[in-house]
Amino acid sequence: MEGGGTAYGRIYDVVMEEMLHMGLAGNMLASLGGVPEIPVPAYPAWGLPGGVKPELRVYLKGLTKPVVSELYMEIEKPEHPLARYALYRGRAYPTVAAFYDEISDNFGKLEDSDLTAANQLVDYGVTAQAVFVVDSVKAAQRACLEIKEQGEGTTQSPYDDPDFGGGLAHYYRFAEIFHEKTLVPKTGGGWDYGDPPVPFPQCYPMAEVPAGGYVHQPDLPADVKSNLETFDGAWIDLVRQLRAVWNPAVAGAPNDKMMSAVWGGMQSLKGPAISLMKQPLFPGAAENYGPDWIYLGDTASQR
Amino acid sequence: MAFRTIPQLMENLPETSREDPKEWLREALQNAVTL
Repeated sequence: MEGGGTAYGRIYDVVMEEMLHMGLAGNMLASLGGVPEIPVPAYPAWGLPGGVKPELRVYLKGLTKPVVSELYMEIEKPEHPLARYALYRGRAYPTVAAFYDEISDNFGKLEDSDLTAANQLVDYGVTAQAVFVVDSVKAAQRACLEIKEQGEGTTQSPYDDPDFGGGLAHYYRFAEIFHEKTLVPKTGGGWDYGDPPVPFPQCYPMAEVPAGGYVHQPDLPADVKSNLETFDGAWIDLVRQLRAVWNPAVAGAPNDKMMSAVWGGMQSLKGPAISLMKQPLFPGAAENYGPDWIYLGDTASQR
Repeated sequence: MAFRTIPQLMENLPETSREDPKEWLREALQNAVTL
């Protein structure tokens, strides 16, 4: 999808709040003396990090209605009390919110003196709402609640609390794109999808990225291989930059290191990604390549 | 620091948080950062 349009705005807002959530989770870990490792994902995969939704197949594909409903809405779906899920290592979480509930509960077992404000991000002016320092049990539990409500809304409303921005929760933003309508309050209570419309956007027809990606496949067109290698190299550089943000062994303030990741690392993904999404898999193909997010290994200087 | 994959990270998530909430939180939050 190129920039602009109602659906683009819905997704952009989700991305900005997910950046906030990453910042808050990193701060919570830093408050306990930890440094985020930022693991390398591999897709397709079953489930999300932390044993969340182990039955969900997560894959990389261009935006289509099935992708919105099967993947994005499922990831953000509010908890269903009758749902049953397989257990992972004796514990699985049916929703992202359930995982954050347990994180919040465990912070409740600590004392403020267990937490440190060192090596944390403060508001760096990019996320929708401000990242804040987690230096108390109360601050950690507020972070958990903000992440939960921005993903799922509350039990009474599809909007998160005004203290957290009062925006429409991610699940309902994706639902608006799926239904191509806006969520509006019904007369007499409740919510329904209505006007104004949210037209489904024009998107590049990016095929599902195969396991192992494209980059190691033989006989790739030279420009495709070049763009894949450029993208994958830029991606792992970005991971290194994000790992450095909370790491006191890397010089610089957390905010400065995050700004470097945002304006350097993230921006460098865009060019090769768009070039790949414009390139058909073969002459006359209905679907196109896309970025494959493959870890190509470290050069000697990066180890 | 070598890169761990998400499944490798999840292997370290303790089954229960009851005995050591701080240690459980550290592993859980390693997962939460990319959730």
